[in-house]
Amino acid sequence: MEKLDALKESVIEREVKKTAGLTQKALDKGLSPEEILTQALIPALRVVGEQYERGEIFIPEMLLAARAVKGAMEILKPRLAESGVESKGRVVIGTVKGDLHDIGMNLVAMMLEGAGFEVHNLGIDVSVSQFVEAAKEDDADIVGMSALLTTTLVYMPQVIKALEENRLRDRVKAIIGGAPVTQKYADKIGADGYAQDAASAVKLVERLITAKSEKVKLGSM
Amino acid sequence: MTPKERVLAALQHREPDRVPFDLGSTVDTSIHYIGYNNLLKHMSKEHLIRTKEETRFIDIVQSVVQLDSEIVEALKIDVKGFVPGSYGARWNDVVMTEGKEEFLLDSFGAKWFRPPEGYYFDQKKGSFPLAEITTQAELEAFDWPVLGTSKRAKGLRSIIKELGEQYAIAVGDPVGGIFAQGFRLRGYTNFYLDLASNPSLASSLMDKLTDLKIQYWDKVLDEVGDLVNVVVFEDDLGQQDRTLISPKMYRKLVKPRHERLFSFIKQKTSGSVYVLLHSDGSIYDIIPDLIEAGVDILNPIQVSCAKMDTFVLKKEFGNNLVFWGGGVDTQEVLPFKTPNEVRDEVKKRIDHLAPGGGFVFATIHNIQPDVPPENIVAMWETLQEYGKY
Repeated sequence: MEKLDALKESVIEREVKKTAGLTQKALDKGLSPEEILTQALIPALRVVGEQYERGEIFIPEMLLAARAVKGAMEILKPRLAESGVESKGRVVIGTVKGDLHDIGMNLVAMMLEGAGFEVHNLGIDVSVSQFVEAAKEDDADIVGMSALLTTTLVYMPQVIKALEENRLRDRVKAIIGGAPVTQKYADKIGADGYAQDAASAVKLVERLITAKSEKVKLGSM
Repeated sequence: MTPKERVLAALQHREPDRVPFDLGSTVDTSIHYIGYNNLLKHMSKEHLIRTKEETRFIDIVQSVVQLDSEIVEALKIDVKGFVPGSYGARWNDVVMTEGKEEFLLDSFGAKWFRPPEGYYFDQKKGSFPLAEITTQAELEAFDWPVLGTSKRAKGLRSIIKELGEQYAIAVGDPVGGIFAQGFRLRGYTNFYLDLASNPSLASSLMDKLTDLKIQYWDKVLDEVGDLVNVVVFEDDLGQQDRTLISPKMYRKLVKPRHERLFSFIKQKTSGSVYVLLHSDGSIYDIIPDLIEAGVDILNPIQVSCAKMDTFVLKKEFGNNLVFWGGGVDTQEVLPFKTPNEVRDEVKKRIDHLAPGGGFVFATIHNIQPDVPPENIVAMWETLQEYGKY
């Protein structure tokens, strides 16, 4: 679809105003918000993520593309809510207690939203109980934790433990990220996944949500 | 050899009697006050242990200390460092409280917070002074601090002159970077977006910061320029796996400002002073540009980041760069491995970086509170035994 190709291109070219304009135009032409999201915005952001992973673009470019999608989402959201389109999944995300760093975490949140997930960004310095409360209230599928400091990593296993104690662990997957975080550490603390950047975080969440829904399907057979 | 002669030989790419050692002379080559107290206890120097209110800091934001002379001597440190205006800063002169959190104000009036269980100060939402601006005019209208006052360096000359007989002298400034400071003023997301989609605003901001720094150094070097060996700049350009911005963007938007700043320093001191740049992260792809811009010394050489292998860096850039740092990996080895593993790591780094001079041993960034003192001692002992030329 030509209109959607142009929209997809404008995200990849990181044109914020053009993306908003083309999104509105597509809606005016009668395309559904779901179509616009799944046929243009999500694939475009996936391309951007892959460009980043290959080292072709850097953080400023990825942020600008995410900003373009954010603008489009602001136009689509009320229409998506109207048409009862469900998000692909619900994610609670935040930087752990004692840690005030959030640029990486915010980028992950933006990319996840752009990929069609509902994201509740708790911000920084988030306590263990705040993560758990949000996971409960939102009926979250994923809890994502970020830390920049080795000294604040200790809160990650505490959140996982609290999810267990609150009997949420079978429904909620826990993923972690941040400069000092490694796959090894994720395995050590029993996290369900680790991602080293926003692009791979989206892939991780997609994989976990798919696995979850497959499990549910099998369970109900 | 005196400590000063030792360091100068290294900076001139000659081999001194042994590898020079820096701990405590810059805000990024020191030790957190909690780690310092742990080390003091381990060294049976309990009489030097202090509360944070009693500690003399070289940088309160990172909570790293100014070392006692007794320790500088005991550890055979070769460099003494100063940040005019915040030399020997005290906690209660600088730190205030708001509710349960402590905070301080930086030179631009931004609040940096320390959460109740935290070890350092950081900015958060609401503490970025230029977050809301969109125009050149608004940029100009900001209440820019005056950094270039004679008051700053006052009294420092006599201290530096005396210590400079023995030690190499490193002097820093109270404003982090011209690129890094862009983030701290605009907010991280905003500045990244400025760089990508409003480069003239980003450039104007960095020009303004370059002007401020030049004003500062003009006054400070008037006062102590003849006594200083190393001028210390902080400007983080790398993340774990690559540069923060593309090399192309660096060359276009940041490099011209670095060139202007560093050539001012060299011109003002008739080339007698060495320019040290501190940059964390993976910066391999722009090292040739940094050298071109006038960087003589690179710190801290974050070996745990992509393409920052000490063997390769020495081979490719050893003729043009002094490596100040690189002594021991600090993301994994120094805090989490055994003393013997620390020893092996230190030997490896010395093997890579020492030949031909051009190496001042320092840990890769500040020593953190969770580093076992046994590991610091193992590092130091290995330097003593193995760091001879």
